[in-house]
Amino acid sequence: MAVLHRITGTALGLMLAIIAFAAPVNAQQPTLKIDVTGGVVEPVPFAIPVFIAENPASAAIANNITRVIAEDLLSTGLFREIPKAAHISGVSNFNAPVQFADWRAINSQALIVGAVSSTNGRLTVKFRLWDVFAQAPMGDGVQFSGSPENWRRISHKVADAVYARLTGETGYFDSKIVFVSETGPKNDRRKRLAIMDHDGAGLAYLTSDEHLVLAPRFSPNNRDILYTSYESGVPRVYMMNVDTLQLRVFENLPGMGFAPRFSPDGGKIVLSISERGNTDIYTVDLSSGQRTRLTSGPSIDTAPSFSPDGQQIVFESDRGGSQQLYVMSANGGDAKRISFGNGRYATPVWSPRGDLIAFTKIVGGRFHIGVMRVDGTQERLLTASFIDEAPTWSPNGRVLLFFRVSSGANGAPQIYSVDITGRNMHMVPTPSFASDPAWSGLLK
Amino acid sequence: MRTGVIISALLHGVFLLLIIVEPMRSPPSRPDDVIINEVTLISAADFDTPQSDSPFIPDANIAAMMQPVVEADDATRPEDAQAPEATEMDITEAPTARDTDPDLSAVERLKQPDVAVVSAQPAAPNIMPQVSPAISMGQTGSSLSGSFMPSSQPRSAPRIASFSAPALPDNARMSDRTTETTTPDETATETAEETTAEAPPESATEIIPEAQPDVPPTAAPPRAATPLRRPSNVERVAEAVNQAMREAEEAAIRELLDAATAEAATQAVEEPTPVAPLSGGQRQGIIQAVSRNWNKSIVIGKENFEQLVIVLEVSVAPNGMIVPGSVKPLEPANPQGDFQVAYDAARRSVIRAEVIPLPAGQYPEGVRLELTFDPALDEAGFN
Amino acid sequence: MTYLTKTAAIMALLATVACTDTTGGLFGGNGSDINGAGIGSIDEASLEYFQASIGSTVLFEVDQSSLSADTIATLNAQAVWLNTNSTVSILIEGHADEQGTREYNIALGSKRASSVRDYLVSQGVADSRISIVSYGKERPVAVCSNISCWSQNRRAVTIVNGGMGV
Repeated sequence: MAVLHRITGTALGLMLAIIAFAAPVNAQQPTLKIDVTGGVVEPVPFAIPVFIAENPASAAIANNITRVIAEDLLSTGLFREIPKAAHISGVSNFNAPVQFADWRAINSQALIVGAVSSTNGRLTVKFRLWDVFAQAPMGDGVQFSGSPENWRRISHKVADAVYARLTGETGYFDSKIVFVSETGPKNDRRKRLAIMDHDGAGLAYLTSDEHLVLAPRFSPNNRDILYTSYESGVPRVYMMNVDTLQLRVFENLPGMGFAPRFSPDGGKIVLSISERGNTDIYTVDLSSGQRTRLTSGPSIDTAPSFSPDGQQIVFESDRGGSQQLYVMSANGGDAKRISFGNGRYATPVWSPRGDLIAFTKIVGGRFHIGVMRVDGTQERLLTASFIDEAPTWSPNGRVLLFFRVSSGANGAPQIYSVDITGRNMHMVPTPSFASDPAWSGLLK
Repeated sequence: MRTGVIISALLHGVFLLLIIVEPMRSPPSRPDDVIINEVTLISAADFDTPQSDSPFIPDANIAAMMQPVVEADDATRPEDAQAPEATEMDITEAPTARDTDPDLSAVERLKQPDVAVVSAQPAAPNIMPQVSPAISMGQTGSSLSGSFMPSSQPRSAPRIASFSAPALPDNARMSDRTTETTTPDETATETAEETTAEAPPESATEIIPEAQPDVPPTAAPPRAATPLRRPSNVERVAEAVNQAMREAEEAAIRELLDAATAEAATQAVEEPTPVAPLSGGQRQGIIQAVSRNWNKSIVIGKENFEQLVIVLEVSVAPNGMIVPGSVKPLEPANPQGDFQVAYDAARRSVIRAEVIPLPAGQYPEGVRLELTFDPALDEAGFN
Repeated sequence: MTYLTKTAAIMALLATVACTDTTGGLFGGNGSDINGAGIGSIDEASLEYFQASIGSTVLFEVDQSSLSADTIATLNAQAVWLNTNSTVSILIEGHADEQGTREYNIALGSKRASSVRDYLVSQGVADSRISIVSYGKERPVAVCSNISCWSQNRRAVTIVNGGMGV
């Protein structure tokens, strides 16, 4: 009996042992599934210790480069700089290991480490971007080089690269803005063309203020500007080379010409021509000079803007009784209305990303800058004031510049910037009043 | 002779216990539950340099955390722990969070071995009145995320079939929730029956304590060890062991069958991992710890931000510390572009949180968190 | 300013008469309607008369280029004057107030100027004598931001012997 018991017991034990080992044996953690809601929306803190000067000659420029990069990032409203005074440790060598704990301690989420050297008349700037909390680099280190007088452009290129890694968007800092600089009282305004870096540096005037000039726009290669001038007595369209200031006059155009823009391939311009009081949209081939009429009819058709693929044109027209936005083929023909809200719509501009159209809207006596999808849906107003007018897109389609005019006898325009989410609206300082800004593409 | 039998029986019993208890202390395995250390490409020099902030979990802390687990065997009876939860209708437990009560299941099982697992649908009418007010009150809690309120915008982002999937019609969700909340409301019997199908191995465990009817039902598997301290009478033990051996044989066969059916049920339901429940407050605490470190400012600036939903996993040590390098993306599994930016922000939030407020002693193995970050949802879980 | 010049001219001429015995006298000369001024008589052919009595400016309603009754009355008088001074060419400036966008206002000013031209042509003024230009909202005469100023800025101005329009 006992023996039998023992045998049975052992057999049972063996059997259970086999079963037990057949069963999973891991000591597992339980899983908890949780939806994280909320979160905070605030500028992302970053630190950018002064770029290391790898030779004594580059010490001064290293500091300037660092500041330009920091200011570029700050100007987006998405980032906040942890000031140098708060840094626990410094960076003395570009390839030295990062003391992540020191940057964590001051809550810096991103760390930009850089170095500058200038040798043989060549300025070289390199940087590396670190994710402090993940303790890992974000992307590879990158090096830019150029002539020393282009140090600003190199700085902007570094900032664009940092921005792209942190946001997943292409940057827009290495770009220029052309605009109309205004002086004088409201009833005797003097206007002239001006150009500056996106951050306001390097401002230069392209014309005198002797003749009324309006609404300059960049060519796709950022080398030429189209604008409207009254120097002949009536508004006419001119093209000026930014470097040489050489002018091309479109002499054979009848009537008054204004609101010109380049096609995305730079081969044509589209503009409004007003003849016998009737304003319509035309294109002019830049090499042949051939003029093609795109709209006809007694209504006012103006403010045309090409889509980035050059296939369509959005413009404003009052053919329906009030100023509204329409889209037509770049060859003209049927136009489809895309604006449907209350009020008047004007100055449409197609985003370089092709997904949105920015515009001016006037409703209830107030002006707004807004964006809508290219089919007119999801209209969203970003600003409101006495007069907000004439948006222009940043190269990455994320930011708009426009001008705002104050009301009253002393009313005057200033350039403003706003993110397409409506955030980070701020004035862009200029030496005098300013209007009609136009943003270049990313400089090559 | 008898002594020999007794000693043999004792040893056999212990051996059996160890064999059977060991695999039962943990749920069915997840074959890919491996902690991966995030690899940083660094130069050799960097590698040799000691990182000053290498995370280190002192063993002493773990031991300290383990202590209460063993002692608090009467601190949370299932019905006690669950009763307050029952009124907090904001809980939407994923099936993995279903309450378990291995001890009770065994006890009840032996009484009514053929009781099938019911979905508790018949109990729905009882639950409904309680659930509705919670909805209208807009109780906070992760379970009341946008999944509860019908989302006005269709989400095209791929989501794991979690409980918070918005695509389910409300009534379907209600019944799911009903099933869940039924658990705290029903008697321990029903709870036990439900969990029996999912955790059959546990039922066999409790055959041993069944011999000592005064064993109180406990919720935490480790408490199954408690009975080890109880035997005082050798004779009683011998009888118990004999009976246990016979029962164990039957149970083992039944266990294999149930494991097979449970496996099938598991696939259908979605990997129910038996785990002690989180109260609404505890869940909220975990959400807070992460979300206050989650800076979604860049993500919500994107045109398509509503689609940038991220699911990641992270291991948490029993003392609540994030296991470094254990953060991994789940959905999407390989985030690119805008999803990369969203994932970076989500990952950063977990790393910055550093410590997750786990309920003391409730997860002696630590916990694997599966976190869903939906930037469109505000703190209350609404769009 | 004009009156001062006139007075000075009259005084000078009177002085001249006192000194000499000239034929032609005060009313001699080429009858230029710009400078001609007569003692005791109004030269309806003068620009001053055009501007002061006939009016060179007509006003428009918001977003309109249509001609009101007042405007037509003024333009009728302009047409008469122009038909009398048939060698004179005119430039019609079209303007708009600040409540619109830049391009559209240039187009609107163009419509207004053209509207005036068309009417004058219908009143017998040769089309070739008239050119137009639009300044949109660029040249306000009144600077306040309310209807009293805006209504003044919505205008077309007829400029005699003005610059080169289109």
